[in-house]
Amino acid sequence: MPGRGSIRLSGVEVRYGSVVALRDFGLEMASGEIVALLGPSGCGKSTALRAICGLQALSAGEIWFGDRLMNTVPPHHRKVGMVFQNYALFPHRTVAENIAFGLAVSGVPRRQHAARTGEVLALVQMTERGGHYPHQLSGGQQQRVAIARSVAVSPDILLLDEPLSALDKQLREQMRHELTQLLRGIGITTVFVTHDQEEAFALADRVVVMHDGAIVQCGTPAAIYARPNSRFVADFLGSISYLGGVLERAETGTGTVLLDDGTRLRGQLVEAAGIGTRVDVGLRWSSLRPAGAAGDGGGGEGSLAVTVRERVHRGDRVEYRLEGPGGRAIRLLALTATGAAHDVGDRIRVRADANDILLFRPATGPIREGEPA
Amino acid sequence: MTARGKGLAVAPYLFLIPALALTASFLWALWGLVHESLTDPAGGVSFENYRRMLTVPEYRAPIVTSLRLAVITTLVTAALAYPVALHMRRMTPVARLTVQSMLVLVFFSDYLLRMFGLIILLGRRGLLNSLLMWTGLTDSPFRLMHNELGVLVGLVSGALPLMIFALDAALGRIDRSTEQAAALLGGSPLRVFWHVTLPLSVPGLAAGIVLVLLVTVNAMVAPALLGGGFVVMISNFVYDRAIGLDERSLATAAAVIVFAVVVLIILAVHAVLDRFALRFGVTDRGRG
Amino acid sequence: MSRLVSVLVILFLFAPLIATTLISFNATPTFGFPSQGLSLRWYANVFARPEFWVGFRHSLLLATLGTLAAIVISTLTAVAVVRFRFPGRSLMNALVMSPIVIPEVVLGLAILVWIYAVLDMPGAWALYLLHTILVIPYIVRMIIAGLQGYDINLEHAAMLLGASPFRAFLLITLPSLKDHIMAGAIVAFIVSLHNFTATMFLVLNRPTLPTAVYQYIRTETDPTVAALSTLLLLIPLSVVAVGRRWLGLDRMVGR
Repeated sequence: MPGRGSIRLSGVEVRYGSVVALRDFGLEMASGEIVALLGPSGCGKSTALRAICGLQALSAGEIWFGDRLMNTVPPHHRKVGMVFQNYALFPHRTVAENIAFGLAVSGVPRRQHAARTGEVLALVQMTERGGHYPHQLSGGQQQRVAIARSVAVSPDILLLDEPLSALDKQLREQMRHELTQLLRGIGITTVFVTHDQEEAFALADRVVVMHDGAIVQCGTPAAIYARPNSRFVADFLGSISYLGGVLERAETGTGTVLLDDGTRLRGQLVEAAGIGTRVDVGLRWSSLRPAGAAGDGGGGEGSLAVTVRERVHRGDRVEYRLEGPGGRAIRLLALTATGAAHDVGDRIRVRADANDILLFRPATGPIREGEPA
Repeated sequence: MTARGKGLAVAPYLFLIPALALTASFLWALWGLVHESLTDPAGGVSFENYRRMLTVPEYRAPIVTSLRLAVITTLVTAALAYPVALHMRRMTPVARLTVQSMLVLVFFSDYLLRMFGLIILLGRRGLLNSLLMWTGLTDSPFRLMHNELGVLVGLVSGALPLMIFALDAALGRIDRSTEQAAALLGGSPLRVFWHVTLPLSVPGLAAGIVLVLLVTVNAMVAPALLGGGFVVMISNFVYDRAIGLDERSLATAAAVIVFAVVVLIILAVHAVLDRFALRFGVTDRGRG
Repeated sequence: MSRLVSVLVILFLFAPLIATTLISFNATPTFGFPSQGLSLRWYANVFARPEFWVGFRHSLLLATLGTLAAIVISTLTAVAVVRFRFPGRSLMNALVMSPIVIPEVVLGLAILVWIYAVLDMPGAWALYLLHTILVIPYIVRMIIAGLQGYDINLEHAAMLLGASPFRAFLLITLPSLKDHIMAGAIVAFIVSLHNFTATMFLVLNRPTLPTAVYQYIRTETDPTVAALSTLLLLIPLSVVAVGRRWLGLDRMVGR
């Protein structure tokens, strides 16, 4: 028997006329779990959120909360809290009145309003601001009030739409930390939508990467980072350079490629590809290490010869922009403290572990859907 | 209150029930008007009322007078409203608010009472004539009303605020940098106005023309009080015939003709506006 | 140049109002100037003549009922037009806005002919109907603008906090539209209060204020109407005050 706060979506589809905004969306969440829907704008993540809270009707599929089918339940009976991207605080009501609104309309006796309002305001450390109007608050404070308002009515599920995007960069870092603490503290099942992978990785137990209305990959932040299942995911997570080569040999999960300059590399074969076909070789900027000057001979498997084209200091790190086999641009991030500095024009060797080299089918046009690896 | 799902397709029509009832009643009434105008005393269909309206000079005159006065009123109000609207744009916010308040004050004061005020001003023994004779500029009073001039003054006074509002709104939408750029390229203020400001304010002018037309067609008090029975405009004509039962069907034909003329003029204004927008868009791009 | 024209235009527009105010204090029953002594007798006469008071009450009643009915109808119409996509949507929008471009004699005479020929309806109802039709465009335009600029997320947020769609609209959306409704209602009220041409067709033996004033001007030549006019300046003055303080004058003139 699935418990309170658990969610199951299966085969969910949303169409606007002929446009499919969400296709075959399936997701199961345990009570108290925090899931991030991650993807670029227009990928369907917000539609998924609106479908969960009932603001968006489904064209197909089912949504279950616990053991209750929710498809025909209107939004105001779903017991879902939502924090909108712009917070949607009622401008003509004070902070306390905003919070009490939900209590009033859901039939909580009036004499309990003050106590509950005080409780949630304390939770978000906004006790002093009960009498303020939303426009008198900063962005971060408005967000806390929006969260307090959503959780005041004790919903089974909390939804957050781009929770940090309206804040400026410094505040975002701080609020990301506070939000993590807060969500863990409440222990409520949470789905949030973001286009920022750092935000997704920092806050979520599980990340669902979406593209073009469909789920591309779903897993823990660590798993997705270590092994993106497609070039789309790898590109979206970013910080990766690509070389071209031909697949020579493939074993379970690993493969060997022959690069255009004759170098051989072994790496993770994340997508099935035929022997003798071209593959894209992904090299994470942070996993590459300088391995001496190019003249030192072979340098062993997993090492390749490159030319330093540019060197950019980025505080604790130094970024090298390199030219690799076939004239492809490669970036390398090295801790400033480690290793010798290389100058522009130097021929050097760089290497990476086979685990950090990812082999993809070449990106030809936009990737349509997430296929299994 | 939001469109959700297919099951709610009937919802908008439920919201519209009162509005539908209301519009149905006035459409029905308009149909009754047309029906009455086409019915002869024996109950058959007849165009006799229309024939009389358009061929008898005495009946045709009010329509012609109204159209003539509408055109003159439009020209005069536009000529007076442009300088005011342009000047309002250059004002400080405080001054602008003051002028705006004064215009709203005039606009929301009773039209009938403003016409009465004009009688006081323009009459034989009115303020203006008293003032002129007191200063010795003239010995005998001027005939400032009970003619078309008096009616015109009333029409302009009534329509002017609307034209100013329409032009002010249109000018407010023009990006100031366009004019500044034209001025920097060496355009004299008049050339900048003629080639940049005026074309860009045409939508406001069009809105103003329609508003002035409607005010003029609706005018009944101005001709009755300031025309002193010498100037008969269409509203007076229709009202006078409609109140006596024997000529009511003639009045209905006159009303239908006025309605048709107004609709045609509005359509024409919009057609010209569309063509102008198109042409202007092209020349704008052509100039790069 | 444009400054001079502006001053003259303002002077021209204000001249009738200034003239009536000056004349209203005349001691003699003439419109002459300079006046031969000051007096408040015409103000006393305004209240002594019953037709003004009767007309004023009738006009207030018409404007109030017409505006209230129009607010309800306009709100429902605006919600339908802004929130839904349905066949006939733009036609409906055009229809409710159309009275603004129908000549008043057409509307007045049409209702007159219709009422007596078709329905034989009592005249009082016809005036309420006319005034409601006349003022709806001003209110509906304002509420549509308000709804279009309204953040729908506020209503959604209310629903997700447990409010039914109706309560969410009533408790959250409607208060946010308050200014737009007020601005529309004020304009509508004044349009109704001052309406003359269309109203003339349907007033029977119970005058409205403008028709009573019109009859008086046609039959009497003394400054009583000037005194009334001066008193009635309170209406546009309060509109300007309210407009400046709360609603924004730009909105009041329909922009």
